[in-house]
Amino acid sequence: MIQKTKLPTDIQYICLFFSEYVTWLMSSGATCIRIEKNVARIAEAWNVDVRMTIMPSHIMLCVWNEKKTTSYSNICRACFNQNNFYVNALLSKLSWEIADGKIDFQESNDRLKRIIQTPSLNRWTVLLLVSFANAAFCGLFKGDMISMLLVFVATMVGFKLKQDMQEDKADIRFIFLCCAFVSSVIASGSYVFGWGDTPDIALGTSVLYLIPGIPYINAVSDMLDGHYVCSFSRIMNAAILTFCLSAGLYGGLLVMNIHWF
Amino acid sequence: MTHSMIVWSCIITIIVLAFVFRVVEKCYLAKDSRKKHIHLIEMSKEEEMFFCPGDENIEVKDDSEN
Repeated sequence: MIQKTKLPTDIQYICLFFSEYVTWLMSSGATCIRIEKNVARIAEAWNVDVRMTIMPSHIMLCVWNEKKTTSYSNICRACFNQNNFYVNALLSKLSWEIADGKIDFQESNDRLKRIIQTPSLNRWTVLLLVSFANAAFCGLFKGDMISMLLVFVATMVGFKLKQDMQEDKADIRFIFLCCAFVSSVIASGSYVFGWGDTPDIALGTSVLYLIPGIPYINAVSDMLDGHYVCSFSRIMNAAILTFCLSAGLYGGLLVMNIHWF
Repeated sequence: MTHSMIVWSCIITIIVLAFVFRVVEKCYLAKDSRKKHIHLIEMSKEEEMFFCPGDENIEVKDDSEN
């Protein structure tokens, strides 16, 4: 049951809260249906009417008061820095706490500010975990221990390169191309030097960490929910990244004189 | 040594050198900005703690503001 909460009289503040909320929700990798549900939950608790248009990188918001006498509109722009499911989960939790009437408007604002300031995971931890995960992928595809070790190293070097290039604000497509090239060249050592018995698996799984899985999944979710513009945008972005990844991998194979195709 | 082995070794050497140069560059920049020696072990602030999802956000208040 959704509890009604006492609100500030000026609808402007409520709209600005929603703007910041949806911007962060979208930037942290939420799907359109998640954004709509969370906003509807909060709007019901606060007794306001929120109309939204979700575009690939912008959200248009219009908030009406209960009596439909005053409205306030805002257009906010999402910044797609990094998917952060922890922030995503915290924002969803915040919407439930508002809906349950546990926190008032002021407390919600403070909580949102704290969520925004949540630090991201240590980059070295991420690097290590991604490398282990990709080596585990190699193991899942029946790669031997030497291949897993090679994939671990290839992923570690490729992902470090990705982090450094992102720090230097390089183009994301160029980053994917370079990382795929470097990882595939390192993993092709198994072919060149005859390390391990499963060089094809090592080479194939060395670039898996670059697959843009979340945009693909979100695109399908948006498509099922009828947000075709967002879905198409996400799927095109993911396809371009996949193309760059493939080009980098093919470049690596070409340079190392490996004829797979 | 085959042609592929030479190419592989060259590419790996370039990558390693690039990482080494970057580390050296970062060390110099850090040294210039702090104007002091980099210590292997040193005391840090509580807010620089290792963050894991689920941890509370620690808001460190500056005592000098009082």
